[in-house]
Amino acid sequence: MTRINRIENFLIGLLMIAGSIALAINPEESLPVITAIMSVSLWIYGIRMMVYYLTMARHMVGGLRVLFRAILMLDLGYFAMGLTEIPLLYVMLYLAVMHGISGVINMLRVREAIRLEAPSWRLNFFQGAVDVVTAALCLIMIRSTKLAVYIYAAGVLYSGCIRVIQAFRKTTSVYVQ
Amino acid sequence: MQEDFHYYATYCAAYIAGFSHEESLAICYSAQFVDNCSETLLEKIRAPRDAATTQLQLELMDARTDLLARHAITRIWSSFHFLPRDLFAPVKGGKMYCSKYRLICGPNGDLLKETVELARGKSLQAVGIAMHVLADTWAHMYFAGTPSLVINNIDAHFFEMREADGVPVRRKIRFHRNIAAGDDLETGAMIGTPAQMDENSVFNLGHGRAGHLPDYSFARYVYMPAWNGYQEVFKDNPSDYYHAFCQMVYALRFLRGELKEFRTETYDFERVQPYEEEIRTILNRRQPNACADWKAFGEKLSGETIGAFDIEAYQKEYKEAGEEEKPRTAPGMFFDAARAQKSMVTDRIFSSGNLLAGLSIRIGDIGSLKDLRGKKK
Repeated sequence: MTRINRIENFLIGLLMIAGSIALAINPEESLPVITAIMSVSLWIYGIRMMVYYLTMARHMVGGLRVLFRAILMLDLGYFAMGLTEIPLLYVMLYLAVMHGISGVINMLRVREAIRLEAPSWRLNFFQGAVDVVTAALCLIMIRSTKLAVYIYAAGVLYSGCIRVIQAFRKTTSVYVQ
Repeated sequence: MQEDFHYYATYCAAYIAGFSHEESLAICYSAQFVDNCSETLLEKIRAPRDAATTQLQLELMDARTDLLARHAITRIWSSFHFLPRDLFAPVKGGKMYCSKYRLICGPNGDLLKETVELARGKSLQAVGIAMHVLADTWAHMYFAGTPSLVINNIDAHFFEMREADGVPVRRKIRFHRNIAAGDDLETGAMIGTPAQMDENSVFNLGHGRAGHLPDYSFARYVYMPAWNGYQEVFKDNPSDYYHAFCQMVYALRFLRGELKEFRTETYDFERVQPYEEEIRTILNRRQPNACADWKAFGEKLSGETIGAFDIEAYQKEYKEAGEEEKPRTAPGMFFDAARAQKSMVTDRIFSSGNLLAGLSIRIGDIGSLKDLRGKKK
């Protein structure tokens, strides 16, 4: 992990911890703010990817993947923006599903890590499993919106702590010169 | 390329070209030292840091990824390890894409001619640096000395060409991240730098994504470079390395003053011919490191012992020399030659309208920095 990655992980981790605390204290007001932040982040990421595709990656073998990723991010960002004015229940549904998807992606990456014999697969698997379980519990408890929010906040808090820990963890990186 | 070629094979080429044993040792030491002269080492011996010819893994991991840091990376790697073949190569795309594409390394470019000519009449250390650069244009062909996903990335379409019962077959290369396991030449499981979707990540510098395959003289492989519009390229290292060796002999004869002109696409096949079979046998032998073979060949050639490369060899001499004597020590002459090479390549890249290596000002044209400030006013 490079120094920049570590700083990035640390800051995102802190933001997630702050978000989870705000969620637990005042879900009514903090949920729309969180979805708005999420939406803006997805938009910025999507636009950056689109510009990268148009200027560089369209010439690259496999560059279409960059375009698909850009479209997906812009679409998700647009969708998230529309969630600020609907009942809390639906916002929770969206956040839980997104959390679950990110967990599933983490677990799928474990397959790749095992195939590449990378030592980090256990941590990825555990983190993915916790995200999926958090999302499942949220969906099961969705009728009691307040409880679902607490479960979700706990999940975000856990992910934030893991990010901060990862920022300080010693990692080996394969670098071929 | 590794120590086997940069140190021992360069010694052999220098000796065949007519240099004495001692001169050949100085040349090959300098050629190998290009892979060791990092900022960390320069700091240790209190030498000018801008003479760095390589970056250590840890230096790269800690490197900033802003524009200026990328310029510094490009200056080092393009000047010494991935010399661009054609700074004006025709290609479709935006300015940034064209700039990166034009830094793709390859042999026999105009910059190679300038590199060899720059070393003429200079120290043996300068000759060694030129030989390192020349040899790497063959091994590192198709990769660029600047961080770039769109140029240096490779995908799963990567096969080694081997022979089974006299018939050429493709065998899939599987890249892994297990440092402890290293490269398994029999199963084709090779260590490689992980994929990073960030265009300017240091993980996308040079041939890291293709692992050590470009450094193995025996390797023949087919793959699809990111920049080649879904067309495969075939890399025949035994043939390329043989060309590199014969071109080194030709260039070294030019640098000795035996030839008046250095031309690209020219190889001294004639002078190497008596040793061709032996050299080709070494190049084709399936081994991760051919030091022992090249050393034995070199010692047979000269009848002298070739000591192992020792990174510490001249450090004491440099540290203990006075300020006026330093430039006349072996490391001092190496640093001067390294700075001249870096300046020349940076200037050519900048003059071609490509800003990836940063800005370049020809002090000779303006007289001095004071004059430049005067002109700006």
